[in-house]
Amino acid sequence: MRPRSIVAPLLLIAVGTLFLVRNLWPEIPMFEMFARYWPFLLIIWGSARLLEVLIWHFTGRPLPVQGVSGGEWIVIVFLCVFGSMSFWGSNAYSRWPNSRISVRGLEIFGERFEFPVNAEQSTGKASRVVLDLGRGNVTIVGADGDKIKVTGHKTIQAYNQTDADRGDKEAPVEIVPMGDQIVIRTNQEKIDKNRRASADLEIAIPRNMSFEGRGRYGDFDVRDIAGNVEINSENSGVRLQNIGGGAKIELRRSDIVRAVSVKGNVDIKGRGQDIELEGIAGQVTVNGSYSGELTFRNVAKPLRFESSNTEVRVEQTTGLVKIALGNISAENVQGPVKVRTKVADVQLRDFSQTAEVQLERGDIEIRPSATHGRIDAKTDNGSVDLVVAPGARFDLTATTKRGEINNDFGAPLKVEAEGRNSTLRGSTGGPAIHLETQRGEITVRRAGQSETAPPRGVLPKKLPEPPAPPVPAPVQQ
Amino acid sequence: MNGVNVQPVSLMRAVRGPILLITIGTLFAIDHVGPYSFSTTWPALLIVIGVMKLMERATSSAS
Repeated sequence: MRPRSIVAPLLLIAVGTLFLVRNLWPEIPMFEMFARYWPFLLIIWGSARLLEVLIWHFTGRPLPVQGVSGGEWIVIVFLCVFGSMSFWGSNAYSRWPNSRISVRGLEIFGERFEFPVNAEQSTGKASRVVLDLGRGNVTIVGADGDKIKVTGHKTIQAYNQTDADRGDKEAPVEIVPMGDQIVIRTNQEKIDKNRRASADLEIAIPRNMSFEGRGRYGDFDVRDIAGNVEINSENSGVRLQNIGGGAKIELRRSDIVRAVSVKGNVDIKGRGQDIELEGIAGQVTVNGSYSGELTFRNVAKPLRFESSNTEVRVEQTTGLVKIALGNISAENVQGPVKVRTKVADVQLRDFSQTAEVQLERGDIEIRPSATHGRIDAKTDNGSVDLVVAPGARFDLTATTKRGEINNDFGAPLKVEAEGRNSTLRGSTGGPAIHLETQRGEITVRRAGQSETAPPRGVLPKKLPEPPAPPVPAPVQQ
Repeated sequence: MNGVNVQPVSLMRAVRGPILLITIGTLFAIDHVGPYSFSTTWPALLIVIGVMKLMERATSSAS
């Protein structure tokens, strides 16, 4: 008998583990990980087969005619097609063309030559500065006076000094007035690819001007400008501080976008990792996919976040709104608040006005402030936890299709059980609260209750009540 | 050795699939995380297949 391969059972175990992880920890981006790393499955598979064949050979066992059978090849072809499709479809693709890895790959060739950059120009009537950067990091600072000052250095990758000198001449940093604009150009596209150029610049511009930056790879750091800021880059970290106008940022990839104290609207589009906004006087609109953590503090006007499967809206943020993979929370905000997503745990704390939460999977925790409006919270799979202020007024209907209801609030709320369905109903005369889960627990309690150690002597008196409802709830059939 | 002179040939044949698989996996991995795309690295597959064919021939003619 020919020995049988261990690859098939291993593959089965791997697929099982994959799906189990996806179900248990939905916040781990399995799909993206698969899209990026699936080729390593082929390598592992091939190595396992090779090792097997070698072991069989040296232990003198008969060898299979083919190391990889026809059926396996079919699976491999499917894997390649599916993997490639998911790779092109996912945002992993857009991350690589100008990534650090390819930059490093090219930096192996040649040496780096540095050239100082020093240029100055008065702005005249222009009200706007446009920077065409290409590669490099840049700091823009608003200053007094009416002059643009560019300082810093340019790096050119070349095999020798003459090549580098030629590159330096071919790609000068220019300041060109064009109508009501002033354009700063690095001309990096004019030299051939063998001599890669980048520029690290510090640019001082008159405080009341607007700034527009275009780049391919490198960070933008903009400070103390009274006009608008517009940044468009393929791969960039963006930091804004103290901007008098609005900000419009469009990136194909970024590790961070940070904006502190912006007077106008902030509009962020594209793909990236982290976003940190603080002290924004205008509206905030974020649109795209972000793999890291998004934090919003102190936003005076409506905040809107939209990605392919998540939507978050908050009318005014005096506290903090945090959006991360698998977790969305808002604290100390003014409603209407709206959260709609597929998989995430949601916490809303201290909000006024209405709230709406809709999930496919995830737990919901809601702690309205005393002045809340209508609340609708719905999850298909997960628990719902409502904590109301003592003496709050509301009209509650809470339903679970399959799960327990814990009424730690006590009267006038009452559990009505109906097969596996249970509903908790009751009113203290206030706005409606609707809680619904298809599968999961619902808990309603008063703020300050059973959060820490049993508070005071009030709790023991009430303790005998809660155990009573759960007994009739699970009707056994 | 011990008259199992058919062994080397079948070893080369058995090893062919796994090596090809590893090569394809490596090329795709380079395509995804490295500087070169699959459209530029595919000739490596031909080279690998050619080398394996040569080795098969060498081992079979040697025996």
